[in-house]
Amino acid sequence: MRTRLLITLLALTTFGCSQRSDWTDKDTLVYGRGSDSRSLDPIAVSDGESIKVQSNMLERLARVDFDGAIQPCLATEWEPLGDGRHGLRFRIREGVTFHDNTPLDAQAVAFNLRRLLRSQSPYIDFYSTILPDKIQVVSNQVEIETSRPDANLLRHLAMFPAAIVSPQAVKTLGQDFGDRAIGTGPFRFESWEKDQRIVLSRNESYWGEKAGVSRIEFWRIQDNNSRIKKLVNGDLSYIDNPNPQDIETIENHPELDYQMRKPGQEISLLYMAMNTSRPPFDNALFRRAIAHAIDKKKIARLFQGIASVADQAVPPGIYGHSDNVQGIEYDQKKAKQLLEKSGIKQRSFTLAHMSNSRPYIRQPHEVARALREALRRIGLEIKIEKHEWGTYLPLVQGARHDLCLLGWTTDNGDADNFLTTFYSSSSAKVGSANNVSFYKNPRMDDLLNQQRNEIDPKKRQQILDSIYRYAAEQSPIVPLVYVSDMIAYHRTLKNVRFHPLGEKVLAPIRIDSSSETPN
Amino acid sequence: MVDAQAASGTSYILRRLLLLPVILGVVALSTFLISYSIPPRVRAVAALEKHISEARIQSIIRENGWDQPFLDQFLTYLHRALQGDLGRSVVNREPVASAIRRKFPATAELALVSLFIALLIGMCLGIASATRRNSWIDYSSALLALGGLSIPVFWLALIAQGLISEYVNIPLLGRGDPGTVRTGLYLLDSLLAGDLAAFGDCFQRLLVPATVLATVPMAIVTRITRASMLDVLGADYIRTARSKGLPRAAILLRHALKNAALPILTIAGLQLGYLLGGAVLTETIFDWNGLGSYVAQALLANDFAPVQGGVLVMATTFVLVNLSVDLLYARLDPRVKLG
Amino acid sequence: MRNRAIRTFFRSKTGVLGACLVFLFLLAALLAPVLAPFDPEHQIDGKESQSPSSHHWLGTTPLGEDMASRILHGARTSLKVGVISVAISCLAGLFLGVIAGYRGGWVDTLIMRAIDILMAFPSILLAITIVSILGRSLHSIMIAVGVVGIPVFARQVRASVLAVRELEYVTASRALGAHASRIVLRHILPATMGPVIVLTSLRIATAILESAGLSFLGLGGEAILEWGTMLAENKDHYARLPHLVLAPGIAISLTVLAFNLFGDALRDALDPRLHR
Repeated sequence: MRTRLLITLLALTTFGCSQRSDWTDKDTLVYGRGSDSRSLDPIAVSDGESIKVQSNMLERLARVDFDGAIQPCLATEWEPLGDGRHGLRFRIREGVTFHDNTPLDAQAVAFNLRRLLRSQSPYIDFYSTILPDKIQVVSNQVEIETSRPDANLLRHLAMFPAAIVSPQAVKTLGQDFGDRAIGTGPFRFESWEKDQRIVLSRNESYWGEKAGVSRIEFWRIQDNNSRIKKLVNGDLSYIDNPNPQDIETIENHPELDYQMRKPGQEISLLYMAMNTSRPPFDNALFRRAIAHAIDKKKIARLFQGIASVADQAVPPGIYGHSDNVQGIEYDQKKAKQLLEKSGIKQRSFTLAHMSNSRPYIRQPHEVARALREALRRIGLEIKIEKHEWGTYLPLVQGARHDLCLLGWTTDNGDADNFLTTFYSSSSAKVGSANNVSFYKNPRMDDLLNQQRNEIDPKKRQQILDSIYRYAAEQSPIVPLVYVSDMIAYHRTLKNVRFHPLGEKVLAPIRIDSSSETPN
Repeated sequence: MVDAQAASGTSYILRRLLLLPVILGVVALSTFLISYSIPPRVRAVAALEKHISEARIQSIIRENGWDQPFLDQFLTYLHRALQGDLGRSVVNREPVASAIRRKFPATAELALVSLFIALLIGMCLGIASATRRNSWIDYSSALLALGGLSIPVFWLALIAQGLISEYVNIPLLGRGDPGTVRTGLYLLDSLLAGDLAAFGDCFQRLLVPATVLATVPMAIVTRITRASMLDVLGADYIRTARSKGLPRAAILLRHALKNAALPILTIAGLQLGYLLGGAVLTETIFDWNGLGSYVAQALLANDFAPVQGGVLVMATTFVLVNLSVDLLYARLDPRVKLG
Repeated sequence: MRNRAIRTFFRSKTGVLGACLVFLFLLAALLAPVLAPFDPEHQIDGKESQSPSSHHWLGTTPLGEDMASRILHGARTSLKVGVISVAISCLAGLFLGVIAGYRGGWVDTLIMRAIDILMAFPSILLAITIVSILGRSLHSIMIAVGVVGIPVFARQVRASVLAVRELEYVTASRALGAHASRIVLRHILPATMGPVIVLTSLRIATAILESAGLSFLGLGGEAILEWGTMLAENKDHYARLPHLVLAPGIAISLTVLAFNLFGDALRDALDPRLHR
């Protein structure tokens, strides 16, 4: 008996029960990513890992399709309110039910919008023009009135914080709603083993085209290296952000494929910010000296093909990026001259960076060391400080740094989102600043307001161009590189596509096991 | 570990057990102090991600009562902890108690299997090298033991993971699926369910991390086994047994090993205590969803409820494991009196 | 006695090997600036991501730094961490152990219970906790590893003190009215020295391992030339540039092995009864 067990054991261990085809048999998309979600409640989060799961379960009134166009979703159509009122009127799709079988109606939509406006959603500013008392239900239509003309209203209602979830579930689950959100999407919540995996299953009564796979498992695999290994050995079928140095492995592997956002379509920026609230960084000449000293090409090379040199703060995949402005060029001689001219004698500074990889930076320590070397070559001595994300943000947002590394990925696809973040005095409040150079300049604020209120695209672009030029002159931040994102997956997955805003739309993906290469 | 001064066994056990709440109280207080020493703002930011606003920071501080006086906070914490409520993670709002219920078995299973591997290999090597002193097997097992003590486990884990995924078809993702979860120890659960295929699957997933983790205890067990076997083999009664012409294997197993078992047992208990809390790096590298990596990551993220709860559980386990080893020791060796 | 110990030590082949390796390590650590072919921080333009060659024995990093020079300088950091952290554990352990053992009574109980509690914390988590309170830096790591090592020393010292406390010459000098500090310095401390020396060598090995683990987790703070940090920094390049991951790992293993061999042989030489 004992020997038989041993033999069984050995057989199982050595030959395995072939994990490779496991997910094909089960019609499951096994998705590997760097961290777990924080919450599934759309009004509670701003992190990509939460949004990624949510956007496959929850839907909005409208959605952005793969070509970047806004399409009907839970609303079938919309029109301006008219009668001198600003805002939109949405006709709600009929026959749609939530995953808990309660029906979607105009009341439910109004409930969700009011809930969003009352919430502490990090994106609340995007909806600040909506008048909460003027959300009205007229049979199966919802009227949303705004305090002023808001060109971005539709775009923002198509973003994930405005997802429509089951009012019934919100009431019964209360605080726990974030653990098992209930919406109308192509996938429904199955289970969540925190810090490990979230399982979604196909919504068999979905109103639109049903999802291609019957199940998605989102696994947290923190280490980039480990994620690619698990893709290669067949544990995973789809992974986020493999290391660029693994592209070669993927290309040489007959069963694997990858996609990356093409150069010229990037939506993320990596930058170095200088704390202008601290001398000598209040000196524009000094800041420009630093900007000239940095060899952005060398930094781009560290990203091994997934980044390109940044010449302005707004990445090329974002509406409002300009092809007509030139950034600050790499010129050590000029840097030294400016340094001389600035009259600053202080030579030693600190550079803070986050210790973990972020979507816009894989190897923060390498970028930091490259920056240190660049500044060393113009005679500055830089001490590098490394912090975990949880302590890093309070540090830089509390203005307790000289230089720091940070990045930004678009929220809504528009230039204003980047420019307000980097240059506006309104986001420079110590303690909760997104403008971590704490740059405050009335002229810049004025320019920012102008572009926000300009509805004519051509005129707006002219204002934007002047902002880029003025920003280069002032250089509170040094835009370093535009970073592309990447996915890798098994070839048996079909219909894998990149979304222009970086959303992970997984419903179209299906598994085609017939084309699997034999082992 | 066992004091030689004689006293009655029961009172010793009682004293040790009475010490447990004291130790736990001190552990609870010190973990609480640690989290208290981190400014509430910093802890609140752990709950947020990209966008941070003053209003949200304040509301998180209020929700968690971090604006209360120290004593109030600590008493509330103690009161809840006694009722089994260890608070919630601020990052994903999961109750710490339920996270621990899920993760502790994962760590325990890894530690137990790892200890089993260590004992199996370590004792075989130890016996072999004790019986064939100064042979190649003695030297190579000494080398192996030294290697086990000297090679950084996290480095070994990195290399092993690379090699395994390259050359061996073993799944490395998660712990597998035992069918119904009863004990949380998946190997046991799958056996209880009578599902051999599930057992094999769970075993495969466990094997590599457990083997990597086993290197240090294996080295120690090898050394201890060799040393205590050498002591015993030199003893008179073994010589007598040998001169009586008893078969070699019988001498080894029945006499020598039985007497060498005590020190091995002691060291195994100690190592189990360490394995239960010390597998942080191995768990992290293999994405083993256990208690060690849970606490370590929470610490790095300034999320302190998991730290307090996790360390409390680990300390309890450590003390209990040591106590049971002492008791077992006294049971097996009549010469030992507990004092 | 001393001669016998030295003779025993040098009779052990592994001990001699250990001593040689320790010597090499010390040499590398002390003379790194002279021995290293390049400045370990200097990024050589156009020499990024190179495989090992006669020019760069261990290749270069993706930034163009010479890996061999980095490894050599890493020895300095390891030596520093090993010596300082073990000094912390050793001194604190001696202090606590001697007081507990010599005074006995409630002082002993208090100290030993405190040590029990310290030992109930899993050591790596204790170390991470200390670092997260003190802030991430190499100094914090040294302190953390030092504190983690205190119980081992304290227990060993206390045991040695207990063994000699009631010996005739000690009780005699106490009866003669010698001051406690004099007794401790003259009689008690020397008796603890053998085990403490052995423990020091073995703890240096552990300290180097532990600090490498902590740095690997990213607790080293600034960009430091430390082997564990190098491992963490380079692990993503493993597929393409395996030497960047293998070199620091082997460096740690060899150094730890050296101190282990050395410590084992010392133990055999200084106190044959100390076999564990």
